[in-house]
Amino acid sequence: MTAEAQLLQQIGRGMQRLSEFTEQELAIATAPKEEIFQTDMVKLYRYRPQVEKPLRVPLLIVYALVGRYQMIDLEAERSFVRKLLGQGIDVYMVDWGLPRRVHRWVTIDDYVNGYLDDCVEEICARHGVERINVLGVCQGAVFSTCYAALHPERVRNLVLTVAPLDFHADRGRVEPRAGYVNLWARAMKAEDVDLLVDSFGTMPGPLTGFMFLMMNPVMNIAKYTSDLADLLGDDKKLLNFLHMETWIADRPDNPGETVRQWLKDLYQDNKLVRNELVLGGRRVDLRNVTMPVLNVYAQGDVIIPNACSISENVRFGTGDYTELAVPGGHIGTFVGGKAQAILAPRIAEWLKARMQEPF
Amino acid sequence: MIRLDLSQPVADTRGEPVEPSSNRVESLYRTWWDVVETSFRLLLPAQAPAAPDPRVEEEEREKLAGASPETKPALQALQLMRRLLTQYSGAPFASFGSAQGVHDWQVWAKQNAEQWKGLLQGAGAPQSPPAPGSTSMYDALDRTFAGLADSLGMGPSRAMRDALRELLAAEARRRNAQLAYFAVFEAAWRKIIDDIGSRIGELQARGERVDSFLALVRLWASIADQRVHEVMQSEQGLKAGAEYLRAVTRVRVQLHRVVAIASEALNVPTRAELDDAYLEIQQLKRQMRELKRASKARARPRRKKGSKEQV
Repeated sequence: MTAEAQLLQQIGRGMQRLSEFTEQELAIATAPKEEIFQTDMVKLYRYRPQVEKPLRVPLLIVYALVGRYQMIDLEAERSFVRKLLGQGIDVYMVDWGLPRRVHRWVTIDDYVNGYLDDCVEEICARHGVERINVLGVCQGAVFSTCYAALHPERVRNLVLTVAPLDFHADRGRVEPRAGYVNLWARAMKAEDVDLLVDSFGTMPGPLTGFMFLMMNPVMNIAKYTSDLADLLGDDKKLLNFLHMETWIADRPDNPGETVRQWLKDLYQDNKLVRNELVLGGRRVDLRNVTMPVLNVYAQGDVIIPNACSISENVRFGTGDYTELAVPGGHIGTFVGGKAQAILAPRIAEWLKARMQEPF
Repeated sequence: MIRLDLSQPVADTRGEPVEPSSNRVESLYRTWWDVVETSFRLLLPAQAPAAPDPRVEEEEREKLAGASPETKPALQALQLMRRLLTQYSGAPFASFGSAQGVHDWQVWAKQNAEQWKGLLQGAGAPQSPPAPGSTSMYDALDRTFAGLADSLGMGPSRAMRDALRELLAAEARRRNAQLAYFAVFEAAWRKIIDDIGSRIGELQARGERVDSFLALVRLWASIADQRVHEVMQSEQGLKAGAEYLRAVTRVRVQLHRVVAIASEALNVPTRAELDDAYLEIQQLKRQMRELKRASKARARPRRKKGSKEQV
């Protein structure tokens, strides 16, 4: 039998299998959770604890706006959230929802000092604590950093994962295939960003998705042909593929004013590490981040170059700062096998070590 | 050409409401299907495709009809692959290991580079924007006697005509920017074709061969990936990309202007008016937030001095 004939057979079997998957098999983000608070399009979830007595100070996970939070609970077997729950952490998650045209004027200030602060307040009230642990992912890590700098009294420990902190740290050391968003954003003039935001209003999710796809335009073609064909005989891998694609394709729209500030103040002007970013009339000063900080970066991250996450220009006010390198890429950090064995256990260990002494 | 019907939104066959964003799975694939199909044809010598098997087509239709939103795109991707493979069976993969095969490859690779060039240029044929002084005598008279025209309700019509002219000019500039952008990548495509030819030659020298569709895709992708990234990260590529985006957004701005004129003429709220309303709503929300916060701060009991937080 020729290779082509074999492939045709394989495709036929694969198509049959695809049509047999159940809704349950295809579902993502299935860890049991309860919605405990909602404001505008934003929801706050609490995951059902898996141990009898979870750590008393809960952890709030703050995801990015450019994707949906479901990534950190993509599949039961490779769920970052489930692994944290298994380590005895009480986990909350902020779901930024699906912004619409009416949210066009929502700013980073609204996200940080509004929605995020509301969520923290809600959790503090429920648990009778003054401060909680906050874990930010990518753009969510920037929001968390801003929050910690503006409201240090509310953050007990800060965990940053794949965080773009110094947006210009990659300058002069461009790595092949890495940091394209940085280059793209800096290639635009400030007025281009204004034109982009003014003409779109709310940035369509598919546009953001396309930007991410274009970061790896050719390999994506292989992904939907040769890679997909290779998975057809293995149900588990095929489901992994479908789950990931479902998540990748689900890009929410982003409020225009947030995009404007994100691209101009951060990607173009790098105001965060310069302590020049202003939210709601208040300057974000990283020296106010006085709580313990764990900064996790992915060794193979091509979206946020490592230099941008662990730059020496990032000067927090804390005396307890730890960096943790995790194998894998930007997303692989949360769903990859090797990273999964390290990420949640090390974060839990780090948090527990800082919860021994009451203060 | 094979064209899958992707014009309709994904139907939820389970009769349940589908979250709008879940339909986007399909848009993710759509981009790449076109590229795969075009690439496949360009990587094969010209030959007439075999007629599709109606039984297979019927079977595929049934599977797609019953597919969930999550699996439908993957099914369609496989369907496309199967059709391409079936319709172009007998492609030159088997001959890649032979000296003749490599020679054939190099001959049509050069032809294909020309095809790419034609394809890219055809997509963005340069246009000239209308010259500033090219308004007609009628327009000049219309402006001179604007008061009379406006009293007859022609004001919006004239404004619309100007806006449409600006829109056309912006669109012409967009196409030129697109051409410049494609030209940057066209140079990369030529290198890719050359590299593939060289790689096949190397394989042949080692007694190896590219003997399947998937092997060809893998070879093509690994080479093209490197070259495309080089272009994307280059100063020239970034500049062309930024200029293209600028041109696209300027078209959108002009389009908004046209719609705004029409909306005002029809007494329909314009986008700017809606945006103003949304801004006001957002500002009110911020005020509400501050009031709530102040009220909570007054009500919150202060922690006693020396009290410790539990863990």
